[in-house]
Amino acid sequence: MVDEAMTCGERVAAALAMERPDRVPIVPQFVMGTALRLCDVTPGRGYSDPELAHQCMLRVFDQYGGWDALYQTGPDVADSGLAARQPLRFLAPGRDLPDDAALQVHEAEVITLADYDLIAELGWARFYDEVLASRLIDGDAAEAAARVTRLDRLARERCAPDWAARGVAPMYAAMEAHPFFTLSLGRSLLRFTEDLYFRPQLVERVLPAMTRDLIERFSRKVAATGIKGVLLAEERVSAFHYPLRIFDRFWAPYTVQIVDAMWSMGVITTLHLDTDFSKNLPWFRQHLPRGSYVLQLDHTTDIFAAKELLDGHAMFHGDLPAAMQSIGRPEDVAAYVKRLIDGVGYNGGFILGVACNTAPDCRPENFRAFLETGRSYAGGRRP
Amino acid sequence: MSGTGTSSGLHEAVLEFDADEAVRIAAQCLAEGAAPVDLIEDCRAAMQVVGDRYAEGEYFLAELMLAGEVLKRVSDLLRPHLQAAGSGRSHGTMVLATLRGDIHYIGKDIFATLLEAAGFTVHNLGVDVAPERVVAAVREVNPDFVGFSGLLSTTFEVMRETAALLHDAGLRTDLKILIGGGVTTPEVREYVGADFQTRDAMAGVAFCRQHARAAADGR
Repeated sequence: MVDEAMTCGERVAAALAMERPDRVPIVPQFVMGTALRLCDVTPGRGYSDPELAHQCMLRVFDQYGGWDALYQTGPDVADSGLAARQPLRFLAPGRDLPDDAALQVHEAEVITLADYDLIAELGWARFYDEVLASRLIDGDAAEAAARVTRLDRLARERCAPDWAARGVAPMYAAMEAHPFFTLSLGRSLLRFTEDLYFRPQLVERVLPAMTRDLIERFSRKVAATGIKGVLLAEERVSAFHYPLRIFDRFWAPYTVQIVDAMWSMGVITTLHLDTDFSKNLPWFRQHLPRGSYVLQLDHTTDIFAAKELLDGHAMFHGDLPAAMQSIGRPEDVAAYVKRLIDGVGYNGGFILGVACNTAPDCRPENFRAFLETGRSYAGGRRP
Repeated sequence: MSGTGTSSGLHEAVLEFDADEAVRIAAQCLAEGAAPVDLIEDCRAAMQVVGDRYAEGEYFLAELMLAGEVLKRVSDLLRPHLQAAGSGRSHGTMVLATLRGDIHYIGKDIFATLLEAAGFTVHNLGVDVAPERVVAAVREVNPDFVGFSGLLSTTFEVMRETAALLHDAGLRTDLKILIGGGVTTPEVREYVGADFQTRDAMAGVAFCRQHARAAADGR
């Protein structure tokens, strides 16, 4: 058992300072699809009623003993994608899908070749708001904008105080996709790959502007919230998809700019990296400042090997796999959590989390085993 | 030089991922009387080179996609001619689907393209496919393989349900079930009752090839 001597915030802060807290901080990317399922509320009801979704998230937090920090305060309803300017169509249960379906994203070629010029001219935010949004919204754009506004108000006025009353706060001032990932989603994987190989100058025309935009948005959000963390998501650049020369040319320099800009303000960048980054890992030690970033891995990268390679340079966050959440047994979950705490957290700098986000069909006994093992296992012995 | 010597430049166009050039050469060869089956075999030989480079770590998913796209466009051009000639040997047949509740298609379609490039016939049922539709397709085309692609853990149950329906319908005996997608693991394969699991499209192709070879040797 663990004698808790820190608040949730202190525990997370210690891990982010590469120190060893009283126990491992637990921060799952807890999505409302999971909350609704654990509360026996259909996704259709939850996605059409963000207030109900918020109440479900609180109920799970209370019934399962809680965790140490949040990704965001408001529920991640389909309109969150519009709020985050993601170039995807979000299909909501009960609205676009059957009532009991999981939230889905539909990726299509919504950015055309001609749009590269517009993005370079307008920057990403203006391009999204003035050109792209209308291609993504079916129906009344004004109503969609109003939903985004209502969601923002709910997050600020209702959700944030409820979470604060429970002693937990968001870790991130902002969460966005890397410009490379944004373009890949908007162009679609194959078309963007063709751009990278046959029209690289187009991609390179927009990446600097998109990076500047993103740094400005991150900086504004950090200033407004006082939160010293941002999350940068990337799922498409690893050596699973591309050779290292693509990573080096189209991703690495812009990532250095973003991480350096944040680090100069004392802000830590969490790199949410899905797919297998094993072959890319040496780059991080060579090019990013020590302690400036967290690698948030999705279980396809071997987190134990990553720790070996970047021990003392990076912090880590991960990585209970979705399959274990949804079809595993509680004893499997507990054993894996202990292995993580021992293997990755033995000398601090580790946040216990899940691979990508909580599985919508995470079994209640597995979610409980994840949290209870994280809270109770002192461990931290290097295997 | 062309890979099989039948269509000068086509092999190289595939290896350079140049779809426009490949289609132009294939059309020209057709006009000059080349057999469509020879042209498609030329493309497949080039795809084999791409696959070998992928296996050796020289190429990545990107190159598989780009070469696959070239082959797809050439195949679109040649398909009517192949059908008219009644030619086009198949190494085996696959029914492929992303099942009910999941609309992700990219990985599935990449796998379909690569499998076709390897000489298999693929019946791609699309996304959000009901288990009953898979069973009906299996009854209809009597495939060697069924493949389920998924990016959501919620599809594990649907994969399992579909595998059980195939079993109950007496269709499972000679049928190999493959599952693939970023969230699948060996434990999911066991849970579903599938024969093979992968996150790597080329590994799936290799499994089908190996099984087809074994089946041919056993005949």
